[in-house]
Amino acid sequence: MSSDRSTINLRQLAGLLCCYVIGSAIVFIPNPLTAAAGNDAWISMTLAYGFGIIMLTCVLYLHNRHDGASVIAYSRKLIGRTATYPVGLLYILMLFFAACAVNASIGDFFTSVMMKRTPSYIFHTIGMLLSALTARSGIRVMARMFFLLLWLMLFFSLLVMILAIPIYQPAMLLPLFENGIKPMLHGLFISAGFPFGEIVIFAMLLPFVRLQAGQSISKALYASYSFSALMLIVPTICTIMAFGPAAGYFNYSLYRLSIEIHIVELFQRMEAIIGIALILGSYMKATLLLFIIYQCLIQLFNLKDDHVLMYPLSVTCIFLSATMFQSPADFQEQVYTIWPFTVIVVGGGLILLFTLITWIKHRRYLQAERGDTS
Amino acid sequence: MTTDSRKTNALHDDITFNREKLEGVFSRCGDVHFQQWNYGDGFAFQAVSVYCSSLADYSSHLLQRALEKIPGYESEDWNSMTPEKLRRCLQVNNASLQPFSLLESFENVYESVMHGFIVILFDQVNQALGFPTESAARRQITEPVNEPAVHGPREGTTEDLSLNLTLLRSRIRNPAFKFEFLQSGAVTKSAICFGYLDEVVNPDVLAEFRRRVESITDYEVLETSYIDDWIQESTLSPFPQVRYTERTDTAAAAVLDGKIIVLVENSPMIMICPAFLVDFMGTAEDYYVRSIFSSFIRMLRLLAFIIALTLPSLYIALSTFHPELIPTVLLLAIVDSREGIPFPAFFEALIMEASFELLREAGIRLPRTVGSAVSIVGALVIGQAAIMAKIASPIMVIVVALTGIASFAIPHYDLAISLRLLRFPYMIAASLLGGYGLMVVFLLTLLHLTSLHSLGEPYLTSIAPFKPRDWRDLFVRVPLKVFLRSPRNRKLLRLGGRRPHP
Repeated sequence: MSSDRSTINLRQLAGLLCCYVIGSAIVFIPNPLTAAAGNDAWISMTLAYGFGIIMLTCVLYLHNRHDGASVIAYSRKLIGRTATYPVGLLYILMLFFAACAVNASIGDFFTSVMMKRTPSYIFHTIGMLLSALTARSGIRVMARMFFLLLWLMLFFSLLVMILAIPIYQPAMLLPLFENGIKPMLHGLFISAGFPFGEIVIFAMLLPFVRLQAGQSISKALYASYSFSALMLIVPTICTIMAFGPAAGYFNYSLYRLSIEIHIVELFQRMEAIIGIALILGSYMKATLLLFIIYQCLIQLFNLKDDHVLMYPLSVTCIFLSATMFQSPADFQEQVYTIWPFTVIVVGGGLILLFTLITWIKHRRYLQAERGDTS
Repeated sequence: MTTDSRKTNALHDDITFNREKLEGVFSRCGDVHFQQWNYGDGFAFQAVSVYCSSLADYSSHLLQRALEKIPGYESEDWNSMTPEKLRRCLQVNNASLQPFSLLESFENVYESVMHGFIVILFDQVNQALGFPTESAARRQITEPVNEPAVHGPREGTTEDLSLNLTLLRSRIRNPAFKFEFLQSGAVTKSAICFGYLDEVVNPDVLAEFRRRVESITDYEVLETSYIDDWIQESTLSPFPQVRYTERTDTAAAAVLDGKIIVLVENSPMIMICPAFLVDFMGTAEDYYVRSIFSSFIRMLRLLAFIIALTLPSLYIALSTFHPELIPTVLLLAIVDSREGIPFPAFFEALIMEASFELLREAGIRLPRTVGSAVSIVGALVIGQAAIMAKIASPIMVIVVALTGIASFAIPHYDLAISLRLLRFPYMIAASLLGGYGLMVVFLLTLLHLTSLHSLGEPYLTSIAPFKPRDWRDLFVRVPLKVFLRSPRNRKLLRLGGRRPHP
């Protein structure tokens, strides 16, 4: 028992990383990716995973170099107090977009697929309130709960992918690079932003971890990140094998996949399972994002950590998710065109900049030290 | 206490004064008796015995035999006894006067009389003798009614605290098994006893428990559940945060597990804390039967848990919101059976669930001789008659009955109650938002469970925080050969002074 309820252990952090990366992406990502890159979608994804690994390395480097300080804290150290405000605000704006997009996506899914006559604001509101309540309970409760839900989500998703084996046609995976390399690069752009590049935002959660002796934060995070990437590449391959060229036209690919399952009279109508996985994934990701927004805000403006801000924040998110996207097409454009650009250029750029400054400073420091000793 | 007040409270030399004062205090206590007798040469000296006839057995020859021993200490007998000699005898033989206890103040006398002592006051002696003869009639040890078992010991606790402690101590004969006593209340002064196994119990939990339980000692505690209510973290949570048992083997196993047990005088319930959700899934018998069978039972209980919590709401959600998820043939059957029912599925379920709850409550409170009438009426109300009257569909009756049976299959009544309570919000959510609503209340329940603590320990321990090691005794029960080699038992071996085998 520990009285300090605001820290988590390494396993829980790794679990949170999985929740964060897989989150809603497991249901959402195969469709836009196959639409953009066709059969090459999984190659784009693998490359995007490589990009994510670079980002993760930077994040971990910064974390270690700054003794586990938060992004806001080392930003103050590196670029100064004043310059941190615009940077932090930029971060917060990005986060608002991400949280609302995740929250809106679940409303869109339900209103377009399962419950067509229910207005979407109901899903936006309930989803966000649920996230707010969870985020308010603190990171330890979140970590414990999500560890459980993660397995539930993965179990349901894998169940559908395994039961769909009879409809897979591996030949659909070919040909590769049908239209040259450009579609693959487009796919790389999308998936490097959502979900792989978003690791730069997850950096805000690293300071909460308390390591025990002999634990390596890098090893655990690389492993869980790779596992998450695998969990995203596999459904993409599955959808391509099941639907072939049509994969890009079916929204919510795993959902479509589950509809196709029909094994004797026993395994049919599996859609509900994917609905559950989707709710879980989106809920976890939205909660994590909301928690990160809150942390950014209180750290940036040095506020008291009493969870008072959580509710205004979530109300803002409810309104934003109800108004931000005019139509599903608008959602597609914003999430799969503008958002990846923002993540790669702004988020990735900032982290790279911080890494560069830290590296140079560290080198200077080392040189100075060497100069002293010689 | 100041010296003045002590003077007024101390027993006087004058026996008439003492007797008058005692008679004043015990006036209108019809069961307190004063008896005067004389001793010494020519019966010159007076003595008075005071006792409460509903607690003490005056006819006992024990007192007589014990009294004969007193002058023997000074090689005298009662005929030649004088107050002087008696006083000297009491002073000198203070320690060897067993089983007598020496009382010096009126407070002591009141308390002793009310604890079933016979108190003897002597003329010209400012001390009194108390002789313990408690013989209040008590219930015999019987098989615990609420926790019957096919295998294993059959003795249950009774309302007698010392007897319960005897039963427990005879199971764990180790000095590391501690019993600590507290006295609660100013009027009832009932004893609270908590026991734990030193070095096995988590010291933080024990400290937290002590801190919380010590604040109740100012109030009257009539039953163990008072303490439960007092020390629990979340008063409004539907989930039980401590476990009760009447079985001493369950209590002993809990103590070995590092839990704290609490007993209160005049209550047979042993409270076990901290309790986690998974604790409510097991019974003592799980360890007495073959592991494959008890694993099967555990799975069955998990199923019962899920059914008792969600079946009616699942039915509502599926039949009103997602008929497309029901296989076609089954859907046709449901539609067919619901034909002519004037209520939506939610009201249908609500009516049936509510009447089931009413029947259950009526069945519990009724005298046993009338009880069978309830079951006859009950079978009619939520059975054939309801279907004939087109109030409920046959499938709904099956759903409600299955839910009821499932909640009976949960071994701990307290957990079954919480599921009964939670079923209604689940049904409302399902009727409003279908599967999504169900998912939302499920997540809310889970959030509540994850944030809930019992004595500072997370309530979902071994599920969240996830402890794979505990899973050998969770939804399956691994063979005892494996289970007993667990770290817990290694700790116990070390405690017993033996080196564990590798």
